[in-house]
Amino acid sequence: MLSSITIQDLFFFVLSSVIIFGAIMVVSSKNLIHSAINLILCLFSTAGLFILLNAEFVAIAQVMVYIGGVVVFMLFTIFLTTRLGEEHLEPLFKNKFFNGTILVMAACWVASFIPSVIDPERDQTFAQNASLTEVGARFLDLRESGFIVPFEVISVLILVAMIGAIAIAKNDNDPKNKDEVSN
Amino acid sequence: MAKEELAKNSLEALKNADQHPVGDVIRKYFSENFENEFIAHVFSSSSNILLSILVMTAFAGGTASFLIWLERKVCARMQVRLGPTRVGPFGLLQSIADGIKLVFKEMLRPKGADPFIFYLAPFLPATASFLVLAVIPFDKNIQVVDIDVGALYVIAVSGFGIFGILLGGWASNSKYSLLGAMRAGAQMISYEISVGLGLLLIVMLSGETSLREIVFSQYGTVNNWWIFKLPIFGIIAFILFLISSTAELNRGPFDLPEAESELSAGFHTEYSGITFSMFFLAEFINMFIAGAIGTTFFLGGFLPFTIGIEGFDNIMFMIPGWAWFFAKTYFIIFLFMWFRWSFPRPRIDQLMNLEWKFMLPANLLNIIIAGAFLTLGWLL
Amino acid sequence: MEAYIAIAAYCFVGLLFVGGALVASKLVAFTSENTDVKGQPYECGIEAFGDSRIRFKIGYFIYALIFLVFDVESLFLYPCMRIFKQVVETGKVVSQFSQPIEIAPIVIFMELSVFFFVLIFGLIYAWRKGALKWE
Repeated sequence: MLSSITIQDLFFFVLSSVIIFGAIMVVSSKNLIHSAINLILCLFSTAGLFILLNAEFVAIAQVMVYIGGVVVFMLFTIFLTTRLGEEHLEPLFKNKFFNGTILVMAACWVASFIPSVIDPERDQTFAQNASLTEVGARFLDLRESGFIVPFEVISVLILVAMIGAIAIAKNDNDPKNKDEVSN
Repeated sequence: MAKEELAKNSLEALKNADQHPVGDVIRKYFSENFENEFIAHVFSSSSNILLSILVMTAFAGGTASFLIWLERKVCARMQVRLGPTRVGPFGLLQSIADGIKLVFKEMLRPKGADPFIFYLAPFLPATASFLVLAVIPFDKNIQVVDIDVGALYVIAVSGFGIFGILLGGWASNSKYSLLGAMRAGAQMISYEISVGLGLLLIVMLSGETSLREIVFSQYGTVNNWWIFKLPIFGIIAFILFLISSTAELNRGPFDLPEAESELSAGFHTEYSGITFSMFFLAEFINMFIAGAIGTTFFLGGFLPFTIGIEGFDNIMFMIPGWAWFFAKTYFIIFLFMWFRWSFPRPRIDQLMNLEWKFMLPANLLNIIIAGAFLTLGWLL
Repeated sequence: MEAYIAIAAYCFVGLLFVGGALVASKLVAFTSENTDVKGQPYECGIEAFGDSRIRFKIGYFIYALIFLVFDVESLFLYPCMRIFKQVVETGKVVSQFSQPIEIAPIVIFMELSVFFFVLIFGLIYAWRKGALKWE
């Protein structure tokens, strides 16, 4: 089996190990900022996997929206909460038996995919490169093969998200929130 | 003769120029017979990318130190001083001397600082700037990689620099650092949108996202450069791009994150020696990148200044493309420096209002009106 | 793909450059004696007091949130804007996988206008609600 490993396989194994390592560090790290840094590592490797699939646009979206947007947003949120970065957080579920059962079940589920992955006769054709033109054309296509409705719904969805978040964030009548705030 | 000249300078000829010859240029200066096999392999044509990366790394360091010298000279001249004159001719080696000094300085880490994040932070902005340099077309054939999603890549990767600032400011365990980092973060994310929308206008009008193709879409006379081609949108977009990239670079007059009079040095207050110089290096490489992106999108990149008169154009085409590229880039960099030493610093609320209540609506309107004109066929 | 391998190599070289500089400095740099005052955060000469991890106002949070919205928006606009000129010039988009997709320029303009105006509405809402005000 080793002889059939291509350079793509090698990249895949390296990137997925990094993702697993990052993901474990995200949940096991007791400092929230360390979690955020490991999340960056994790998302960056995911972008690498998308590149392996020839999906440039999704990879760039991963970097631009998830790393450049969501993680920055998370960092801001962590900084806003007092001293949370230093506090040592306690795990939510402390029952070792329960946690172990969940872990074994998840591992079995993942392992059930192994036969189909190592099958030498699996479909090994590479995904074709979807260029930006292709993505844009599909977004704005009015026929059945197009995605014009999801595209317009995206704008409504993020509008709703923004209105909701502003409504929550601006509602600071709580007197606790008023003191000790600096610019 | 004239026809051959024209054919040599035609769009197809420029487009079909060999790719990845950074390595070839270097290899020309070394003899073919290498005794050491490893060196021979490094200089073989299959490793053009490796070679170009090494060249670009050296280039990044050199550019940063040159820009630091230039900044000091321009500042001094604007204040009727001489600036550095002692080290080397015209003080050119001053920044190298400073760099050597900084290597020998102690790296201080305040008590209570998180060591891992404190030392991780200087890596991020410098690496992000290196990554952006990879897609910049310096000449028709000098570009490390040309990717289809170039314009998006520039915006996505340049957003990385913010992590160094936020994490560095937080990890320092100092009030000034944290305040500076939060301000820098808010400012950079705000103005990143304006930069992105400014480039979006050019993507819409040129129909290309690869940086090389965007440059070629401006082929022709000087009127075809995107800044001059449209009735007025190009100039508006260029001015908005200049303002927003100045703010995204955290340079004066928008240097609130490191406003000396209120925040000491902002997010890098606690950094010293080489860790500080890495932030400094990234700042100056970013300035070069902002100039280069402005050149690529608005000023015709490596294309020469031609006016449509054959004799004049042929003379202009004799000047190599990279010379045009650097001339235009340094023109924009000079504008950045000019801003810095001419304008007073706004307050932070004024800065935020400028972005969200003026620049963002202006950019959106610019795109919508240009799109309407394009649909009606009044443009291009 | 090759381009991205080059970019990965570039990333690696960048990290190596900074790491090398840090290690070199660690080896040659002058180190002074460790005292209590040396580890103090800088507060203009007076002794540091209170907690350094101060609390921030909610304004930063709202700006980050609106940024996220417009970040996603500009990301989705890039592929659409890329085909705009092609549509205006030829009336169709040449697709790699299927037949050329025919779209009238006015239709694509209307589609993008809807997307734009929903977001401009969001901006106006945030403005009217005072979310863009720095207090």
